[in-house]
Amino acid sequence: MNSAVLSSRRSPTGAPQPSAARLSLPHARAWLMLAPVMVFLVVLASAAFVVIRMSLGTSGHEWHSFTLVNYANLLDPYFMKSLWLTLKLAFQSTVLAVLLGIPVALAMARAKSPIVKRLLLAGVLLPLLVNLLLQSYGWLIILGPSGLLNHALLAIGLVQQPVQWLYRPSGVLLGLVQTAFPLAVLPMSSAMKSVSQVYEEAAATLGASRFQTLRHVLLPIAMPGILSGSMLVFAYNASAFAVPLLLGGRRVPMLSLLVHDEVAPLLNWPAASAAGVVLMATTMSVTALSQILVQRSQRALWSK
Amino acid sequence: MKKFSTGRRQAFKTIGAALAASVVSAPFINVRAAQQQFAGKTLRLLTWSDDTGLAALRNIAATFTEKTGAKVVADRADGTSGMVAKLKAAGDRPQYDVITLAGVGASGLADAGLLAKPDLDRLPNLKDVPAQYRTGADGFGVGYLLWTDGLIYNTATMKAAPASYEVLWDPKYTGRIFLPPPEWAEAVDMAILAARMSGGSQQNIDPGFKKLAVLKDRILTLGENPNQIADLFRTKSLDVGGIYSPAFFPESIKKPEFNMGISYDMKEGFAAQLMFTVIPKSHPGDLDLIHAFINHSIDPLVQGKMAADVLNGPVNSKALVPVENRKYVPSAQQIAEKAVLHDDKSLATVHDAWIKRYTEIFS
Repeated sequence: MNSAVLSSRRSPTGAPQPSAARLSLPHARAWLMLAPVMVFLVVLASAAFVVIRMSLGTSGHEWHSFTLVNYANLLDPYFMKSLWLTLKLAFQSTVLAVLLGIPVALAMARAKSPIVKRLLLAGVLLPLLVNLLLQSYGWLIILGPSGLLNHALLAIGLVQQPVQWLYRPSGVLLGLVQTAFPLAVLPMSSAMKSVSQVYEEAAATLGASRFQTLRHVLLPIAMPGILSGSMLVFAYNASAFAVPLLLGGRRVPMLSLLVHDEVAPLLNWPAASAAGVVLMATTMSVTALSQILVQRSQRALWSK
Repeated sequence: MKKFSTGRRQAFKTIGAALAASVVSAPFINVRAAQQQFAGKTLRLLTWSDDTGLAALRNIAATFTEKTGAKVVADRADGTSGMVAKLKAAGDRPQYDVITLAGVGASGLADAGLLAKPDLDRLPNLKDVPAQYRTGADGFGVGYLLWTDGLIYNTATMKAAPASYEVLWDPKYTGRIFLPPPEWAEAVDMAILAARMSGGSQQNIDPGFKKLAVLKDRILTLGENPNQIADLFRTKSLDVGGIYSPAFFPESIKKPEFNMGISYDMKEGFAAQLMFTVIPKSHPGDLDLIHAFINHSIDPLVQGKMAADVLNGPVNSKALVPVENRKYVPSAQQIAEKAVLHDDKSLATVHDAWIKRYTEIFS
């Protein structure tokens, strides 16, 4: 006989009361199921704490000293300019990726044919499936000084000398938009799919054009998904390393490259950690602020 | 004169030959016997994970095992900073017997008190290594390879190999030159070379950065990715650049379609950095084995193979570099006469500031 049953008691009203063990069993099971995830989260959180702790150390004495000098050093115009450039490029790439992604997301959400849906999905996912290094070579072949675009422009006489598309902020921006494009499209497509077509039909019945329906009905309702996509692109690109390295030719010093410099030749892990923490905190602040703004606009929308 | 019969003469000849052979071969037999003492022993090596590390495994570790019977267990790290991190993380626990790494890493580990000094008397091959390349990092490192940088030029667009770094400042190459990226040691050496060309030095670097600033709008890129650089030469988008090492693209530079040549014969000399083998203070293997391995790494034959494989300069002046690779590797005479080594120790104090200055000039 089950011990839980043996230990069951009767309430003062006479109704049988489940034992504490019986009550806690489902909870225990739930916690047990969550355990692997919790362990993983603890590891992730520990890594972040290690970085924070290291940012308070000094080079060579990472774990035995406490100082804020690494953060003070980040006030140097060299780092401030880099932080500004990083945020600027992350913001610009987010706006471009979202603007370019909206029609694609809409097409994915509203396409009826399963083949079209699959083709669109495959096309969007392509940047995630191809190695970043290969993608950068692709851009080199297209946009390089002897690339296809320059060949075409020279051939039709539009330019007399090859145009420098790469190794400039514009080249990096292009790479950031391309590599983060799926991150913008997928959440937006999912959000648009969940918007009932009844709203669009109602707007159309009231005489709204397709563009008006998109602007005043679909996009505001799908705003949480658009925000999710934007935040993913922003956070991904704020910490981008490979794209500015390969397409910027080290002439576009985003903060991640300066973090790398501190680690690789200078062996100054505390300084690198401090720069990493600042980048992380800035990105999180921007994300939180955007979420607050969108939540407010959503409340205003549904209270109308 | 007393005559010997043919039979007796033959017998004397045979005995004489046998005696001579035994005398001549005795040292080798003894050496062989001495080396056999390492059979069954294990040496733990930490090296790079790139082509240089693979070449070290092929040309140094494998031949050492073949020669001595010792087993070499290799671990590889992504760059010098990775090696330093691994050794620091290990602390007092014995993990590696020998590490091959760059000067900055060797100095960093020596300063942190993590290295043991090698006994140079147990490295007989050092006799053929010029004095300036024997040791470094306060005597904790033994030089085993010379990372050499010259000017890379386009064999299809330039008539002759450049003989001076002034070619980089020639306006006719505007938009068709490259420089090394700021965080590389090559950038440091480029700044020093520019300073020397303008009357400065490593200790008086300002003239060098001023001279480099002239190139701000003339360069196509900073060569962070060697494969991209090789491709830009292949497509004739670059004429010349550096300073850079052919070791970054040991395969491509040998292929004619990449149009790449390397010039070390510069009137200002060429930059070189000494690569080291070091012994961690806490090492699990025995010191005889460790010293035998380090000695083997500077053997003339091994040095020649390494130089040919990774296109670095050998430190052993008697290195036997295969003929077909000699045009990519500076000769012993060039190394002796023209190699310029920067001062790692004093660089450590200014490297951070120099990276910032270089980055700011070109960004």
